[in-house]
Amino acid sequence: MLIANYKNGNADVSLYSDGSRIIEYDDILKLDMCLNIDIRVSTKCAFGAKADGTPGFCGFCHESALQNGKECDYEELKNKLLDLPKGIELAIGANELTYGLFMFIKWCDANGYIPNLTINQGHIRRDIDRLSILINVGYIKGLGISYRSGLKWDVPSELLAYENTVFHVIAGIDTFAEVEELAAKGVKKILILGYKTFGYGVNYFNFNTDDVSKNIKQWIWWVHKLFNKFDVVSFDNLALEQLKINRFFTNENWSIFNNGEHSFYINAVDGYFAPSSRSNEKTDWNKKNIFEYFKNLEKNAETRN
Amino acid sequence: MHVKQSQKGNNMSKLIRKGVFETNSSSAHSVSIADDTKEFVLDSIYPDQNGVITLDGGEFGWDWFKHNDALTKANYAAVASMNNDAFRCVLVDVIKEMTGADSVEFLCSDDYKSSNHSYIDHDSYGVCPENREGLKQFIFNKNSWLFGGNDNGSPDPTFYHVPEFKGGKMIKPEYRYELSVEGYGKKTKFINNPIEDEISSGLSSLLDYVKLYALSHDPACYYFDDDNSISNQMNRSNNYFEFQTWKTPIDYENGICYFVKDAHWSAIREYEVANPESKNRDNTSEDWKAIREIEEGLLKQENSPYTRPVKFFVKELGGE
Repeated sequence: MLIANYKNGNADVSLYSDGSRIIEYDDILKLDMCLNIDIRVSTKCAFGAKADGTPGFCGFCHESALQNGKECDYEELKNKLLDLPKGIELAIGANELTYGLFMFIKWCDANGYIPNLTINQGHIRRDIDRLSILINVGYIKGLGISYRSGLKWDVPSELLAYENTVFHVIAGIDTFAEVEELAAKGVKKILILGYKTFGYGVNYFNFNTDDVSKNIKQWIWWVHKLFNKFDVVSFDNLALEQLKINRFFTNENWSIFNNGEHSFYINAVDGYFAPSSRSNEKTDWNKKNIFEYFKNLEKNAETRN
Repeated sequence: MHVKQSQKGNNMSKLIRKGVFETNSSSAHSVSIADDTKEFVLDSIYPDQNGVITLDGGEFGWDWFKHNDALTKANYAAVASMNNDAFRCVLVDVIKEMTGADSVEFLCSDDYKSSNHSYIDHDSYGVCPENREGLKQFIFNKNSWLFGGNDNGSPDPTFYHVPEFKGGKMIKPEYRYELSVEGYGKKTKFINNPIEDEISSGLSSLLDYVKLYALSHDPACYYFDDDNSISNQMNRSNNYFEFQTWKTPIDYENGICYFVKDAHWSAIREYEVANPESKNRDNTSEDWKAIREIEEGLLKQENSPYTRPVKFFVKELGGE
């Protein structure tokens, strides 16, 4: 079912309820605005580093979350997002589904944006009431669950049954065997993330180099097996590189199936834009508006290419 | 899945992402492989827990076979490279590159006493590319098929027709003609209206190993036996007719082919009755020529006990 249709530059973008997206354009794709934005709304996470700096449960967290971190000012964030085309996707990383975040998501939905939420598996039980409302009312359209193998498996069946749930797994952290087993647990879609040597991920890698490297090697050997185990297997750009996914495509098909990224990152806590969450090219969000930032980003990408 | 398609007639392009929303808070879903994308993904071979891929080789004989899975094709290449070090090096490099394996081990052997005795029938040699890119495509591209067989018979006309996955689409062969034999359940198909040679090959592929039991010339009493299991071969009666076009050619005009029974010994007996002196000497070429003529006569006579006519039909398929 069509849930959004909008003009973006020379493209006509249609979004469907199962997440499918069709972009039609003439000649070369020229967008006025990105197709999706990754938004960080909080640095506070129960699995983050402790106040004294010792590592928390997710010692590899590339976002350097803190147990005593803070939440963004949602009103300020809303001001930055105003005037975005209706239908744009917003991928929101939620460490905790607070009332403020809940209301922000409702606002996104009311404004015609497509909010998608990612939550850590370990926080689901704590936030399940609000999460259920977001799903059942349709305030969010897609749900990402950050898989943590060390946790007891108690993902509610309603989340497994939700057609737009995607489990995020990390090559280098999660073992291949554990991820393979997710299929038997009812998981249908997975997103494989590359290992980020960024944030706490730098130290974690330095202290666990052999383990992470060996783990990634096994992913390289066996990742192909997953294609027949899950309905959808997707990759972020880093995983594409680390796992050498292009070897599974002919040159022709690679150009068809890999359409790159038309997105950027907003850190609403610290108030900056960046090409991605693992980039140090930060731009103060008070110095450029969101349209200017995107234009500049596309221009730089064109120059690089 | 993301699919970019150029539509003919204008420069309009499409980018399609299938089955997943952007949920990642660090970077986008750059490539998604969904159910209908899987066929466009190249195949792989999985190393063991030590990063080793072991190729056992195999026997690629004269039976009709076709494979497009990477492991079988890699085993084929392993056998093909048994006595060619340069080819073997390229093979190892390609497999390591495509699978991430640390090493490739070969167990195949040309020693027939070995449990991994491996060979390729002479008819099939030479089909395996030995250069890097060609080998990569041959082994890992599911559009690359390894066909094997022999020149003693004909494969089914559909044997070489395989689906092709290209440009985001699956291109299946479209069959428009069907060949069937009266009273026999199996059929085969053709893409184009078959010429006589193609009909002959089609009939051979259907009937070469079929035995016909027929006490009379009434097709309603025909029984086609295509169970070629050892037990059936041992237990069935020898009173059968076989499809042999070289003895009784196909009548294309009337759509009739012939199953025949051996008339050779009957022809010899008939010749010896007419020429008793021939019993006491080795047959000359003149004798054999005469015997052959008698045999042909026996096969061609009206209501011959040695032949059974069988009707066949070539039908145009509608809307398939």
